Amino acid sequence: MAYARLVFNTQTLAIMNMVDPGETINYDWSLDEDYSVVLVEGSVTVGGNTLTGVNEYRVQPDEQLSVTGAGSTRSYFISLFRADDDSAMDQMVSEASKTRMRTFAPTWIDDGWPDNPVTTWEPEFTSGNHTYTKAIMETQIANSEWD
Amino acid sequence: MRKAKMIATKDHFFFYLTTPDKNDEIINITQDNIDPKDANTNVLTFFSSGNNRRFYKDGNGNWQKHLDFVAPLMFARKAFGGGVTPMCFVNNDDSKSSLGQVIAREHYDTGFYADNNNASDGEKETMENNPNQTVVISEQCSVSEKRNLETCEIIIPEAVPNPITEEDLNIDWGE
Repeated sequence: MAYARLVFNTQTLAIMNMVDPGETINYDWSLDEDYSVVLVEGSVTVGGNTLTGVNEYRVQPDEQLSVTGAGSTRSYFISLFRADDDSAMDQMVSEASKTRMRTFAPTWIDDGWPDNPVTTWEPEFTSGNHTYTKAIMETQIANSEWD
Repeated sequence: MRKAKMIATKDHFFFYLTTPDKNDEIINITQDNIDPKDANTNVLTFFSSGNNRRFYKDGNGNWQKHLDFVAPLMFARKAFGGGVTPMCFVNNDDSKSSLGQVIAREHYDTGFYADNNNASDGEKETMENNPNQTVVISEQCSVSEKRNLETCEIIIPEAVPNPITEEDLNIDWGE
């Protein structure tokens, strides 16, 4: 199973990615600047190297990220971007998405938690490789209510 | 036992905790380590393994059980100040449970994160003066705290009965 889904606040856009062994997540876009990806569980092949443990990989300018699950267990990695950085955001998302990320706050935010928070993403994962596109990002930003 | 690893990436401070056993405290954000100046700071939290039970403190200062969260999951919440009350996550299963938090890099030395990161002066200097440079905090945090899964109270190990009497000790305490 492979899947990627983003979460944002006014400063950060983070994409949580999951791959099972042998599966690949591809980003079909790149940036003209580097950005950080942090592996938090498992083992993956990225940029021609195997990454293990809790470690950072620095995606290089113009590199389309491609990560394949290695080892025998599921792997998770997080891709990190500054939502308040015009240079990166202009290459990733639309003006409408930029505005939503920088201004959105749910009605419950001052109370701390929504009444019925989502408690797992597990059912949303599907089998096979996954290509994470800008169109998917747009949809996820538009639909996010932080719950 | 809880172990933490902290990495300053290009733009963010990455705080990752893992616990191996049921009842292990994963993270405990108290009123003491909420920094008022971070009142509007939001944090992204994720779970990459395990079943994690959340507790929060009510208006009377008592822990209340909230919900169980099962990895994988990621969400945005207020971390400090505002309407946020002290909260605690506890490992709810007989397996590893891991939680991570992501904040903008400039907040690495504020509130809860200032209390819980062991960055040396040299590492702090690098983080502040070389904002694009990765810094892996070399001294990682290790804490042991277990909590009751119904009340969130700290579990104090039961005292082992001691059959030795004062007379048996036969200690000369002097005058």
